[in-house]
Amino acid sequence: MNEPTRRTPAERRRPAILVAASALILTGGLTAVVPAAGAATAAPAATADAPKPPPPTRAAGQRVTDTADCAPSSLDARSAKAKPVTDPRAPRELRGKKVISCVQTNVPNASKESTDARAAALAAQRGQAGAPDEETLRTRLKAAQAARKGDKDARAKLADNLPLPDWCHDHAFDGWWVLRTAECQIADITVLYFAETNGRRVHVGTAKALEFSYNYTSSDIDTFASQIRVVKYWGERAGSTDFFSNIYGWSTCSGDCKQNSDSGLRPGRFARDVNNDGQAFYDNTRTETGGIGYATPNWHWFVHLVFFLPSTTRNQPDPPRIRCDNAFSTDGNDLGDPASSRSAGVIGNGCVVPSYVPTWIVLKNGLYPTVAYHVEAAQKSGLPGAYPNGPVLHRLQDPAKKRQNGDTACPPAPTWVRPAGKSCDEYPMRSTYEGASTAPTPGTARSFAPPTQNVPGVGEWCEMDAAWNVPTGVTGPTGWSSCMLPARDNSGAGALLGGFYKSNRVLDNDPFLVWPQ
Amino acid sequence: MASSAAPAVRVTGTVTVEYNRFTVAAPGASPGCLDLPRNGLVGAPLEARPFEAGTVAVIATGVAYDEVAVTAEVWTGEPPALDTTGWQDAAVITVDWPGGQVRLLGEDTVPPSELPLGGLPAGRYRLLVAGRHRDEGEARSGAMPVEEYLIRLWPASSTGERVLKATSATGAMWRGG
Repeated sequence: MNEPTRRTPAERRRPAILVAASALILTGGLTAVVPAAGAATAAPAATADAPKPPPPTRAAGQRVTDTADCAPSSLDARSAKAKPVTDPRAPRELRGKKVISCVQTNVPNASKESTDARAAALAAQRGQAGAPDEETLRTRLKAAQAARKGDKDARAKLADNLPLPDWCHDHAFDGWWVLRTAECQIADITVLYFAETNGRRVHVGTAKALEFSYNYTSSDIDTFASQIRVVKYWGERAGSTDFFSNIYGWSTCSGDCKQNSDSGLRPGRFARDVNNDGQAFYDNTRTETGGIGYATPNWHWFVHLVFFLPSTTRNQPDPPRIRCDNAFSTDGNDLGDPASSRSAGVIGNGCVVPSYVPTWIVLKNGLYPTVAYHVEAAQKSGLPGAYPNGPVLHRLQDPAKKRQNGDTACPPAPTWVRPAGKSCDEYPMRSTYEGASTAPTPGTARSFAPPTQNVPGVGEWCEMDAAWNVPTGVTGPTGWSSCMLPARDNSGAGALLGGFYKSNRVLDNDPFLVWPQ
Repeated sequence: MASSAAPAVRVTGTVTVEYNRFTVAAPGASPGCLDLPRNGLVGAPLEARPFEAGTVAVIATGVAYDEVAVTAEVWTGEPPALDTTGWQDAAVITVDWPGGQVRLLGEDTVPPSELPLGGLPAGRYRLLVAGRHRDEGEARSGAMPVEEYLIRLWPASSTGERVLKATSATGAMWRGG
């Protein structure tokens, strides 16, 4: 057998693949190895301490309090269309009058009684056991997919709403909060009732409800869920009536989504302490190889006192959009023709909340400690990517640019001959746009030397040949660091990084952070 | 099962590896595997992870981010015994193949580094891997030798991992020695 020869750089720039992966054109501008709602790196079970996952973050640019629906002009417009109440079941004092209503979000409570009622209602919801783990959520999403295909038993698995995670309750009344595969908000909804005679509008009652909203995805399933619960917790005068008081709700989705199912709100009674629950599921429509789609689900509901007009519709404010992609999938179709390539199936598809910046955690007491120490030293010297404040790193998937980053930070032999058992580690990683060659602002090399890199129990974790003239003691936000680390650590941590990218669906140019713990 | 005379399919090419490994993958699988093979050459993933679905085997390499040369063969029956002269390491494992196009997957870039081997019906197969030039460094350039692998797949009539040869320092390093 002939010895294979090394390709020249020019030859190497031609992709060495026999399948036309041109179908994998990414238009996008998207756990760790241990599945977690956040983005912790995996530590296989052997690791001593569990990583601290980063917390949820608040969705940017949202308005949490909304009173627009109750502005005079809005009420006037509604009043113009209203007809006087004639239903004999209506309270005497309202007959012959126009009765209209409006909906407000997250306004302060006016009375101690309603404040106390809200606190009690919240506590009752929070006290529910069994906040969902990732496996439960995945089972649900798969059941929704199976139900869509006609599996009747699967539908039964979706019967009850899931309790909300604790972090949802931690941020009640503060809009949408997100993790990489979940978004949640708890809102306080006020329904105001007005009666009018002779052009004079009088407030005749109030009803207050808690709305619990929870959307969840899985990074390897391309169906996502939108769950809601509306429970009335207080009312006064016209709003206190629990009889003949109904609630109707439905879900919609805008963008690259197709409704899988919508249960509506059940049982549909707008009465104190009655949980009105709804679950909707949406399938990703961008399932072609390389496809990236964005979706925004919303719930809508209104209440209806039988002898009044229905209230205005509460339209949930947009949650941060959900992104589903098939960008990771290589479809194995060696025809290479995008027109004839078919989706590789659900293995390649998944959905995340792209506005949540995932964090790769590296453990100083984990399986590959020297890499964690290198990252820590590099970030402390000013290089980017540090949790929580960044600046963020961006994933790079261009093979030629990755190679340039690697060759710049870690020149191959014979330029740098590795010490036995060691391999070259660089920070920022070659798989980022902030790497040694591709960084927007060019910089220079740095490394680390004793005593700063001699750690008890780990030893000297950075070995460099003085002849390479890589300076130590360098600080600042540009450039890169290089260290020769034990090859097992370097390779193992690299594979964990690859797993982090996949389990968080970090696409080309997606931001992320790195957190040595 | 009677030995076959020649492979039904033979493909030669290169795979650009990442993190010292490349994988044997079914349709829909993404590149990469968290595990290195216990024998230092080839093994199945140690855990079934959702984001590694379709990854059937991982092959460890000496180079970290370089090309390796591959000759891959699919046989309809057991091939003749491998002459390990000239190979540093060789081992055979059994894999359960889900069906579909077989690919060797390297680095997780766009496009990924992949070498397709054609379709293979679902079933149990023996996977033989032999490697050489594994010890010439993790990052090589110029006229330095290219790391090289022979891969053979055939329907399994026996199971059980067999290590035919293990002489490279790279293999010893990945075994933890």
